[in-house]
Amino acid sequence: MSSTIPQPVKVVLIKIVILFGAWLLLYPTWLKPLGIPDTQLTQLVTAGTHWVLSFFYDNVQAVGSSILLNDMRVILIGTPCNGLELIALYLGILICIPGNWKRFLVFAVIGVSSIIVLNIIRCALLAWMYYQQMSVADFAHHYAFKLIIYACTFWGWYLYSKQLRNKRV
Amino acid sequence: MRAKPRKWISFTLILILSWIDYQFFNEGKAAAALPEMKRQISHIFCFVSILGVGFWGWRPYPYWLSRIWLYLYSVGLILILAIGIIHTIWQPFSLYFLDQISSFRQFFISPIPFLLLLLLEYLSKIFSADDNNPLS
Repeated sequence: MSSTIPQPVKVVLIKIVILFGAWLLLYPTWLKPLGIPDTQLTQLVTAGTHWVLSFFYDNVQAVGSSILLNDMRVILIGTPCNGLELIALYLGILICIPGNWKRFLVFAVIGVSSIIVLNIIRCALLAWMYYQQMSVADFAHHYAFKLIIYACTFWGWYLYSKQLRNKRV
Repeated sequence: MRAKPRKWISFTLILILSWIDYQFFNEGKAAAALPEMKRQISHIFCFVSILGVGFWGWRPYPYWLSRIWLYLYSVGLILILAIGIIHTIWQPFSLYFLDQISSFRQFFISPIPFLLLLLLEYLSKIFSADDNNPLS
């Protein structure tokens, strides 16, 4: 059984540690106080949620980052719910995996768009669940939907690495 | 127990532990009703349990995988405990800083570190296949 980290994996790991450290320093001290891109992303998710719900309800309103269904406030899309940290994690890991820039761009664009779309669907479903006062709404909010998005993120990394294998062998 | 089922049992347990932490000690009415100290101890309990369960799951795999898991979680735990103890005694940290530390803790009490190790394991397989391939 191997006791030392294989050299290429070590390189990936060092890159992850450096990027994770840089994110921990930069985001809370610089990006978060400026609200960039938190504000824009929250606005996009709110608008997307409003758009999805408008297919099913006649009276949907977006007030700030709150969603109202038939004048009842059902969800508030806060900064932790906009998916920015997951997007940063997805892109950060993608940068650390060796590959060419074209493949990186394709996976970055498709992956980030998918995370945003999934988050909009998650928020719309949560709004509907809270509006219907479903007992599983809290479980879905705190866990089930998050897990689905985590699984999709991992799937993105896996597919990106799989192409690397096909190319190398 | 064989390595693969052990890894997936460990992953399932981590999923359950992170759900318990989020649902009962992090957000919602149940968490708000708990005294601050009890809530913090519960977080540490979940953190340490995930550390142990993950280490058990990765133990039959190449040694470096379980080492990375152990070092990653040990560093995280020491940092969180140190900040918690310093704040309890002197209260030097702002609410904003503590909020960031809370996000840092939530990263560890989630399935993400396990998924990252799965990815590293997968990458190591790709690279070793390449090393063993005489045509590469």
